[in-house]
Parts: sequence; structure tokens; C-alpha cells
Amino acid sequence: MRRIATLAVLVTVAAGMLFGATLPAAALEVGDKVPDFTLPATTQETVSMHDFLGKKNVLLFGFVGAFTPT
Amino acid sequence: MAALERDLAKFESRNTQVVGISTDFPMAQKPWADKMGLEFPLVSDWQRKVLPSYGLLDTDPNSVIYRYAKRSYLIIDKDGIVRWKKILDDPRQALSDDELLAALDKINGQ
Repeated sequence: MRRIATLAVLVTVAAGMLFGATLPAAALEVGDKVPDFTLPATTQETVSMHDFLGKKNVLLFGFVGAFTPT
Repeated sequence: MAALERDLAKFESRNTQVVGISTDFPMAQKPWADKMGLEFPLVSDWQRKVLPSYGLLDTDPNSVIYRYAKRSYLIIDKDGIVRWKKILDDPRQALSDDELLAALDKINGQ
């Protein structure tokens, strides 16, 4: 009985780790491949990450909003 | 951001494309980019589909920038791999271009 209880706990923990890892909030870490995107841009109609693959590094920087202090 | 524009040639000489991302609508980004004279693109993730997958959207309901982009920097190499990353706790702060350029030099093996 005790063994079954231990197993149940282990399965729960494993499931938590498994599904927890797939939550959308998981941040990209160094070494990860970035997902592609295509978004409206200020310099041309759209910019895609795949525009630069095989050609250039990309410095992607996030900022809070336009017309806010830099 | 003005500093990034000022040093744009230094990033370009390191074979690096500068791209800014925020949750602004394109109609807000464009006049700002024009006002700042930005030659590099700002991209609009107004639907908030990309920032979460990059881990760059603030998801803390108690944060003053909840559901906005964090002040963050990713250097992604030609193969699409994240090589360097920094996310600042205070969105009013910004990294110096020197720090970013030094990180690029390290990645480029110079």
C-alpha cells in the first residue's frame, strides 16, 4: 500500500515537471533555438526571424513601449 | 534606443541586425521610429504571440509592466541559437552599447 502511495507521488511529480516545462511562460535560454516569427515592422511591411538565418546575428531587444523613456 | 541608432554602424560591422520588439500597435511604433530617426526595424507584437514564446513578456500581474515587453536583450546567432541574454528587472534601465558590443565580439570570436 505504501509502495503504491510512493509511486503515486512520483507519478504526480513527474507529470508536474513534464507539463510544467511546456507552459508558454518558459523563457528561452542560452543554447536554445528561437522560434520563427513574422511581425509588422517600421522599416518595411514585415520582418521575420528567418530573414536573417544563415546571414547575420540578431540583437533582439524588448522595450516597454513607444514614446516611453529609453 | 537612440544610442543603438548612434552605434548602428558598430553593430553592422559585427554582422549584426538590430531589431526592437514591443507590444505597441504598428501605428504607434512607426511615428516613434520616425521621430527617433531609427534605421533599424521595430516590430509590433501587438497580438502578444511572439514575446511569450521568447520569454520576454512580463507575466507578473503585480508588475507595472504586466503584459508589456520586458527590457531585454537577446543575441541570436546565424543558426538561430540564443548565444547571450539579459533581462533587466527595471524597465527604465538600459544596457550600454559597449556591453552589447563586447558580448558580440566574444560570440564572433574576436
